[in-house]
Amino acid sequence: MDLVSLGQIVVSGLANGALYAFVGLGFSLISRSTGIINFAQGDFAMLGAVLTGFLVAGGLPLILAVPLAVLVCGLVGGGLHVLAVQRAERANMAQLIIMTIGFAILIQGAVTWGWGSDPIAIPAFTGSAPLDLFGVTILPQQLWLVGTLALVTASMWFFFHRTVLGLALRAGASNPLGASFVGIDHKRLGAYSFVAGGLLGGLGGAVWAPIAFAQVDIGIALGLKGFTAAALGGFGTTFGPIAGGLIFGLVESLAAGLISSAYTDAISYGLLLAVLIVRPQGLLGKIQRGAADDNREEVLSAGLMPTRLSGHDFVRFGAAVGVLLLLSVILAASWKTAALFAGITAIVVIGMVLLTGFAGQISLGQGTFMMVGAYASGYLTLKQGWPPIAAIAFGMVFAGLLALVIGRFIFRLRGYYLAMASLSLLMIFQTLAREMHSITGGPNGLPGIAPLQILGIQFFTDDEVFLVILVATLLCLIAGLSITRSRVGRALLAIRSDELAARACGANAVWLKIGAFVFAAACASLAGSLYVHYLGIANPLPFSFKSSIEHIVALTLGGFLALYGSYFGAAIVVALPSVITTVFGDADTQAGAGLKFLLFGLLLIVVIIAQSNGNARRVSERVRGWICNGFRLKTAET
Amino acid sequence: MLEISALHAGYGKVAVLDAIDLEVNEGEFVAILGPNGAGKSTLLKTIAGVHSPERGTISLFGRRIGRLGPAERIRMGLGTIPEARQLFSDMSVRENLVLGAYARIGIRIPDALAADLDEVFALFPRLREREKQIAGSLSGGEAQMLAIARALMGRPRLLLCDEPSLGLAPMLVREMLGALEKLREQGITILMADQNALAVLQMADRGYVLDTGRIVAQGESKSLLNDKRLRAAYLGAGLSQ
Amino acid sequence: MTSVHDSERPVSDLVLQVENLSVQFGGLRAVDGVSFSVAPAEIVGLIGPNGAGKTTIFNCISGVIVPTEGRILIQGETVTPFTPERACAMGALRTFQNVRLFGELSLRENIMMGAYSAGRCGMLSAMLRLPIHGRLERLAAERADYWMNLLGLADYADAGATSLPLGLQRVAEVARAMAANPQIVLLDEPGAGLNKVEKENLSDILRSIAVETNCALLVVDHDMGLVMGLAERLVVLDFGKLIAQGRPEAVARNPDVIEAYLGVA
Repeated sequence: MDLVSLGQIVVSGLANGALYAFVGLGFSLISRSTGIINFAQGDFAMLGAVLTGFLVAGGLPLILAVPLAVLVCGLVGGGLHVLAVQRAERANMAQLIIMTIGFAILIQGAVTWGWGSDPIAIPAFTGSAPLDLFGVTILPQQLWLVGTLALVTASMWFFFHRTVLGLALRAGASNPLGASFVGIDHKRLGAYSFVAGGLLGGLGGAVWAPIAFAQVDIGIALGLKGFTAAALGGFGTTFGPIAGGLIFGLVESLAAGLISSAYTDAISYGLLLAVLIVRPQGLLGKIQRGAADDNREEVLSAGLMPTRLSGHDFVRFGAAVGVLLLLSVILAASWKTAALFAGITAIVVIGMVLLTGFAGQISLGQGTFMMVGAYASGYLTLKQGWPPIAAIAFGMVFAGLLALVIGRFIFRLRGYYLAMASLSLLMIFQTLAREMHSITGGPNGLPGIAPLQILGIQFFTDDEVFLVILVATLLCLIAGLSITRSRVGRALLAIRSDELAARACGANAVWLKIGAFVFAAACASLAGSLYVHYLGIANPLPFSFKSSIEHIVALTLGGFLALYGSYFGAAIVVALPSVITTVFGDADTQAGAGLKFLLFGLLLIVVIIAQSNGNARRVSERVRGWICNGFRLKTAET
Repeated sequence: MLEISALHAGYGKVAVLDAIDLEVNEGEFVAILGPNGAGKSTLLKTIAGVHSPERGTISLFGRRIGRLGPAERIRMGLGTIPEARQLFSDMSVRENLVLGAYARIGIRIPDALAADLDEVFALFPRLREREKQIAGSLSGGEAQMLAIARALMGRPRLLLCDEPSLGLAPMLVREMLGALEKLREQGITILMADQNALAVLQMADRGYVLDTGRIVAQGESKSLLNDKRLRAAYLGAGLSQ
Repeated sequence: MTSVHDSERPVSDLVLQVENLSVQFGGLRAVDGVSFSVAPAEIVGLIGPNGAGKTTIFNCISGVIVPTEGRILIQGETVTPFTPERACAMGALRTFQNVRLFGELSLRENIMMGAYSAGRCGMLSAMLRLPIHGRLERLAAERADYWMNLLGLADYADAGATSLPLGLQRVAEVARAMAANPQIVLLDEPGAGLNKVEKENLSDILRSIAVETNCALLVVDHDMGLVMGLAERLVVLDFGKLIAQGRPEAVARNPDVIEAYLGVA
C-alpha cells in the first residue's frame, strides 16, 4: 500500500469520523444532563440529511434548506422531551431508554412514510470538483464537514464555559442536587439538552449528506457509530466524543482499506464491543460514581407477582391450549400463518420478559441468538446430517454460552450497556452471516432445510407446524414460569426492587442477571430454529435490527413482567401489518412499512407514558383479564 | 420575614417534619439545633424549595411561597448554603460563583457580575487566589467559604445555613462563624441549622431545638444553653439528670 | 486458631473484630485507625455525631466500602473480598437506615429472601424443580414463618411489604436478617422515623433476639435514647477516631463525648 492510498483512507476516515462525532456529541450531552441514552440520536442526523434533501428537491436554496432542516431537528428533539419524556416522569431508566427506541422508529417510520426509503442526492455546498493534496483527493464537502465540526467544537466550548446556560448544563451534570439549590430547573435543562442533541445531529447529517446519499436506513448505523464515538471518548466528557468519533472513523476506514471491506462492520462493531467490555468509561473518561445510578422510583409493576405455580396456572395453561387449538381449527389459513409467526415471536419475548422485566436489562439484539439457532439448524442438518432435535439443542447451548460470555463482562457494570453491546453483536453476526459463505451461504442463505422431524414424525403443513410451535411456546412459558416462580425469580425481583438489599441477603446479582440472559438467548435460538424449519431457508434478513424492534414492541405491549402477555404482544406485532394492509392498502409498499414503524414508535411511547402513570395497569388488568385470562393472580384476588 | 406554620414533610412513608411552627424576623440570627436525623436539613430544604412539603405554609416577606420553585425564591432574596456544600466539584471556583447568580441573570453572563464577584472576593480573599482552580481541589475550609460565597452571589436577604461547621476543624469553625457574623453586620438575616450547639448559641439571638421532627424547645439563646431539653435531645432522655 | 467450616460452632470467642480500620476518601480520613470487637449475644452501640465515621465503618463491615487499611474478622475469619454477598455468607447481615424491603414481594417473600443464602440453587435447578430447590424453599418458608410468628408479623404475611407502617417494616427487616441465621446483625439507625411506642417495641424485640439466639447486634445510631437503653456497651467515634468505649452510663458522663455531641464551647 502506497502513501497516497493511505492518505486517501485517512481523509475519508476523518470525514466519516466527523459525522460520528456530531452524533456522539449529542449522545454524551443528553446522557450527561438527563442520564438517558437517546437511541434516536442517529436518527436526528438522518432526519437532518433527508430534510435537507427534501427541501432542496422542493426548490429551496441550500443556504436556506440546511438551517431550516437543522432547526426542525432541534424542534423535534425538544418536542420529544416535552411531549414524551416529561410526561413519563415516574418512569425508570430502562423504560425511558425503551421510549427513545420508540423515538427512533417513530422518526424512521415518519420519514419512510413521508418520503420513502430511496436515497436522495444532495448537491455539494461548493461544487464537487475534488481538491488534490499531494495526490490525495479531498472533496470540498469533506472540508465543509470537518470545518463545521471544528466550528461547532469551538462554539460548544464557548457555550459551556462562557454562557450561563452552558454553565448550568454542566452544573446539572456535575451535581444535580447542588444545581437545584442555585435554582437550576432540571426539567428545562433536559429539554434544552434534547434540543441541542437534535441540532447537533441534524447539522452533522445535513453537512454530511452531499458526500453520500440521504437515506432513512442510515439512522440505525449512525446511532450505533455515534454511540461508539461517545463510548470511546467517554460519556462523562464534553469533548471526548469528538476524539472518539475521529478515531472510530479512522479505524473503520483503515479496516476497510487494509483488511477487508466486507468485514468493515464486523471490525468496527467489534471495536465498540471491546470498548464496552474493556473500558466502559471511555478512553478519556473517568468512572462516574453515583451518576449512573438509577434513582427513579420503580413503577414497572406495582402489584405483587405470585412466586409459586398454583392450580390456577394449570387451569390457565389448559385454557390457553384450548383457545389456540380452537383457533387452529377455525382460523382462515392466512391468519393461521400469522398465529404461527406470533408463536415464534412469543418464544423470543418470553425470554425477554425474564431479561428485561425481571433482570432489568435491555437487549436490542435477540436476533443474534435467533441467527445462532437458525444457522445451527440449517448448517448442521443440511451439511452435517444431524437430526433436527440435536441441531436445535446445539444452537440453544451455543447461544447460551455466547450470552454467558457477554453477560460476564457487561453485567459487572451498572447501567444499560447491554443495549448497545447486544446491538453491536447483532451487527457483527449479520456481517458474518452475509460474508462467511462456506457456512452460512452468504446473503442467499441456506435453502432446502427440511421440515422439522421429531421421532420420525414430520411436521410439514401449516397445521402440523402450528402444533409444534404451540407446544414449544407452552414449554418455554412453563420454563419461564417455573423460573420466575422460584427462589431465583424472587431473587431477581428483589434485585430489581433494591439491588444492594438483595446482595446483602446473599443474592449474587451478576450471576442471576447472566442466568436470565442465558435463558433469553436459548429461547431466541429455539425460535430461530423453528423459524427456519418452517420456511425451509436460513438467511440473515429476517433477523435484522427490525426484528429486534418488533421484539421490543411485543415485550412492551405484552407487559415487562407478564409471561402470559408475551403471546398477546407478539400477536399485535404480527397482526399490525395485516391491519395496515386492510386499512391503507398494500403494506408492502414503502409507505405501508413506514406507517408500521410510525405506529410501533407511537405505541412504545404511549404505552410507556401510560405505564409510568399507572394507567397501563388499570387498562391492561381489564384487557388481559379478558384476552389472556389474566396473569396476575394475586392482584385479582386481593 | 420568614413564617412557617404547621409544616409537615417527609420522604415517602417516613415522616420527618411534624407540625413545625417557626418564624424569623428581619436582622435576626436564629439557630435550629438538634441531633443528626432530627429533621434540620429537611426543614431547610423545604424552605429553599428543593423538597416539597406535604402540608403547611411557608411565607417569605409576607408572601406564600409554597408553590414557587427554588429559582423564584432565590430571586425573592433567599440564599442557601446546603448541607455538605453541594459544590460543582469539577467546575472552577469562578464558575461556581457565577452559577450562584444563576437565578437572577439571563443567558449571557452580564458585565455587572464582576462587581458582585469583587464583593465576595473582598470577603473571602483566599477565593480570589483560587479563582481558576477546580472546586473539588479546595480544602474543607475553602470549600465552605465557596459555598457561602456562592449563596451570596444570589444577593440574599435571608441566608439558610445547613451544618456549615460539618467536617471542619475547630479553628476553621471559628473562622467560618466569624464570616457569618460579618454578613450579619451587613444586614443579612441568618437561619442556621447546626449540631454544634454551644458554639452556635453563643452567636445566635434565638434558637429552636428540633428532635425527631418536632420543636421541643425554643427561646433566647441564653435560656436555651441551660435548658435540659437541649441536652436531652442530644444525649437521650433519661440521662440528663 | 484453625478454621472450622461449621457455621454453627463459633471458632473465635469474638463474633466481630475490627482491627486498626482506616478509610480515606480523597483528602479526608473518614475513619482513622479504629479497633473494637463484639462478643456473641452482645449488643454494642456504635455512636458519634454526624460525620464521625460510624456509617463508613458500618459500610465496611457490610461490604459496601473497601477499607484503605486494617482488617475485619467475622468469627475469627478475615473478611475478603469486601462485597455484600461475602459479608452475608460469613454471617453478617444488616438492616438499612431508610428501610429497604423489596417492594415487589410480599412480606413473607421478603423474609424468605433472608434465607436465600442458606444454600446454592441456580436457575437450572429452579427451572427443573430439582429436589434441592424444594428443600431450600421449605427451609426458607419455615424460617420465615418462625420469625413472623415470633415477631408478630404473621397477620401481614401476604401484604405488600412496603405498604406496611414504618414500625412494622423495621421489624420485618430484622426478621429478614434473622432468617439467614446470622452471627451478627448490623442495625443502621433502627430508630429513625419511629415514634416512642414503636421504638420501645423494637428495642424489646432486639433485646430478646440477642438473649435467645446468641446473635450479636451492632447498633449504629445517633439517637442516644434508643442506644442507651439497648446497648450493653458503647463505642464512640468523633472525627473518625475512637474517643471512648464502655458501659453507657460511663460513656454519657465522659467529657470528651459531651463535647463531641454539644460542640466546642
